[in-house]
Amino acid sequence: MNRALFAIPLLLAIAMGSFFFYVMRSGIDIEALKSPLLGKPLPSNQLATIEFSGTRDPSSLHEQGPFLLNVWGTWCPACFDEHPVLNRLAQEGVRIIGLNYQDDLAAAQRWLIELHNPYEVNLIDADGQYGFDLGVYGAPETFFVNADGLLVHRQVGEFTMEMWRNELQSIWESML
Amino acid sequence: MVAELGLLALIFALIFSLLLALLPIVGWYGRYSNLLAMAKPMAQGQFVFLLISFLLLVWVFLTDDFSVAYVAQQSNTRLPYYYKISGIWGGHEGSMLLWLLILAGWTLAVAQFSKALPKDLVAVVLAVMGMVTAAFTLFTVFTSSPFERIFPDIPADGRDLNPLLQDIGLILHPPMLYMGYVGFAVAFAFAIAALITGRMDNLWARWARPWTDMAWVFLTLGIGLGSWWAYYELGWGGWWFWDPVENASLIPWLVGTALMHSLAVTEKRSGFKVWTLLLAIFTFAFVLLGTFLVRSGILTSVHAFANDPTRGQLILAILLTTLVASLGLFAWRAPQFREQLSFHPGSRESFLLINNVILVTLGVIVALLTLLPLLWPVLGMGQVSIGAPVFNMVFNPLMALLIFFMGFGQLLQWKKDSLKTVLWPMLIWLPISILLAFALTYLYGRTLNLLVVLSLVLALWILFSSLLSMQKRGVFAADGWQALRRQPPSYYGMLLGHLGVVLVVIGATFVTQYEVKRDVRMGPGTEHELAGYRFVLQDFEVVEASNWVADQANMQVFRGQRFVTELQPQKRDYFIAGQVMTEAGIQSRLHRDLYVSMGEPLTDGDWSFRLQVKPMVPFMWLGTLILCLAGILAVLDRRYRRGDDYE
Repeated sequence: MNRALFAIPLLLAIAMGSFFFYVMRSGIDIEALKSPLLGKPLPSNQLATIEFSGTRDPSSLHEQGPFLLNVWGTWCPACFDEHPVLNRLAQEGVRIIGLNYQDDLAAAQRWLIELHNPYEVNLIDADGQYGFDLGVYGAPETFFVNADGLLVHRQVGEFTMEMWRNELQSIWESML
Repeated sequence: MVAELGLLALIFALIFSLLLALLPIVGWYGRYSNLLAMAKPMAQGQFVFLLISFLLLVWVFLTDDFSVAYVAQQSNTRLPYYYKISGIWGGHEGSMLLWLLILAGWTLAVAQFSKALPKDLVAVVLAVMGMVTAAFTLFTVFTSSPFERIFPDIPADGRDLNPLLQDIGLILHPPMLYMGYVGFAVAFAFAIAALITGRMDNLWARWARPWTDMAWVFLTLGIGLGSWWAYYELGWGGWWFWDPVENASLIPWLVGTALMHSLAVTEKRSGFKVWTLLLAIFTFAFVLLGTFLVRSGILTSVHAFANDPTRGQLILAILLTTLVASLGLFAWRAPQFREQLSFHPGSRESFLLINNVILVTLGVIVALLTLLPLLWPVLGMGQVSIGAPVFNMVFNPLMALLIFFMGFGQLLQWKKDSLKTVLWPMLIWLPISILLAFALTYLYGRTLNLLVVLSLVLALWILFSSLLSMQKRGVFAADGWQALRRQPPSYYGMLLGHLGVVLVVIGATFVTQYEVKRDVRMGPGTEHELAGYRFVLQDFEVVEASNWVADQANMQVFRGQRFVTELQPQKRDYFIAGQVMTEAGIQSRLHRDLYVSMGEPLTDGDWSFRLQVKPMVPFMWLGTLILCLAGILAVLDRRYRRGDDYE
């Protein structure tokens, strides 16, 4: 066995380490992830709604205009922090559709009553299957869908009012 | 005041651990025996102060001192005392302190139970553990102190513990898991000590092995408890989700299992030395990687602790320092352990090699799939989500292959055996077991589910191989009883361990393939039938406890006319934390679980329910317990208890 072979694990470890530092330091963290669905329509599926208003197909929701598809769950602390921002946006007339992701239905209903409901309608994805098709990384995530039903932008992780004013609002307005 | 004393004790422990990390190493290089002798008292001091610190934190929780931020975040006056205590490890800061206490506990155990080992080796082992403790104590003191105060606005009451965590499974699951995680620090310390001192022979392996086995037992139990907890507490009957945090515990388990088997070769045949060292380092590295993933928030997960970039970077720094230092040491010193181990291709060594290759491959694949969502965007390949189907597709075939080879491996002798001695009986058995498996599957399910057939073939395969192995050892001869008694506990450990794996596989396969579920609307007096069971809803009632109120359904289950059981699923409202939880009603029998959960309230006082009949679930828990028992048997082997081995 060559002596140099013994250094291979070390080199691998250094490569892995630099990678993690790169991920943590650089802008390429989970907030900037692009979606393979960008420029494409949302996957089609019939999903039940928390409001018990029959099933809806996310890929046909754009017929009533552009919208944000917000992935949330009551188990997700960041969703709790993001919720007031969504309430504010809904007041300003932004159309928001909820995707209740891997959640407990009763808890979700209660959440909407207590924290106000900024969503036009909430689709249920209890087993995370639709989220999987969508490439959801975790909650919260927000997909910007234009009037043609195509995905324009994907926001991974919580966003604040400040982030909305600085960058996201212009994306939204460009879709109107 | 008490909280400040707790922090002070933690700082004292830090000083002890720094001394423990330093003095014995200096002693080893300078050959100062008095410095080497300092290792044990330092290990004791470090443990005592961490224990004091932990007990003071318990005290702060029990006295509801909400001026301490961590208590206010994790606890509440209305929590029963046992959840106040388990609340300590429900969050990041407290669980770090528990992690440290357990690490110090293992260090103390090594210090106390190593009288038979050469003094300098023990001292270096303890010093390496001291380094790990020192690094993580520094981390805890500076970024994650659970004793931090909130001033001036002291909350009147705490936020309450996350209701998911208010459960016996969660009282036990993290401590067990940490016992396992941290226990692999011992194997790691032994490996580093071998590299530093240059001493690594079969006696070294004999000392390192029981510690590794114990850590493995705890990790197995911890993972099993986690799965069991998810199964009955999350309310919907899932038991493994390939969640990043679950994977973070599974990867060290896979690599640690490889290490256990590789250590066997090092002990019995003085072989696989370099490989054993590498596995010991990597098992611990994966433990640290798991800690990093869980606590840095880099991967989104249900389990992940709150996101804090500084913490993540610090843990990453610890992980990398550990890895670079230990692998650097490996690159420099390990070549001296190069060996020429000769063994026949049909002997046990070959199969242990296969075992190691498969287990490590599994570990690496699970790690890659877990990290892929991070890796892909960096490589400019867009974004991916890896779901359970991908994991299953890769994991299950390799696992089946592993069990197939296991059937041969456990039959063979060391060094000189030939596959021929067992090949024929096994090859004749193979078609028989396949036929039997088909027949059993058909009798059970009236259909031929190939995955179920495969799991049964594997089970019969291991069963036959175990019987054959016992026959080879004379168990079925005239004086079989004597032969049975002559076998060392570690032999039974091996057979039981392999049996445990098979039981888990059977349970997992049957429940995935044969479970039936139905979502129904039910009110008082309505009934539904599922898989031959009749679920009759009697009535609803309201049940109260100190921190929750629940709607409870009283449901009777019949099979034909025979009364089976009464189930009482609940929808609990934890009003302080403001969360609603589903408490499933479960009746568990070896061959099936009845599992009823309440969905949401509907009109007219009805509720939606999910009824499930889940076959063979207890096989998984039983298999896990048998795995643990097997590990304990291996540790109990007489050769580890003889004190006079060295000299």
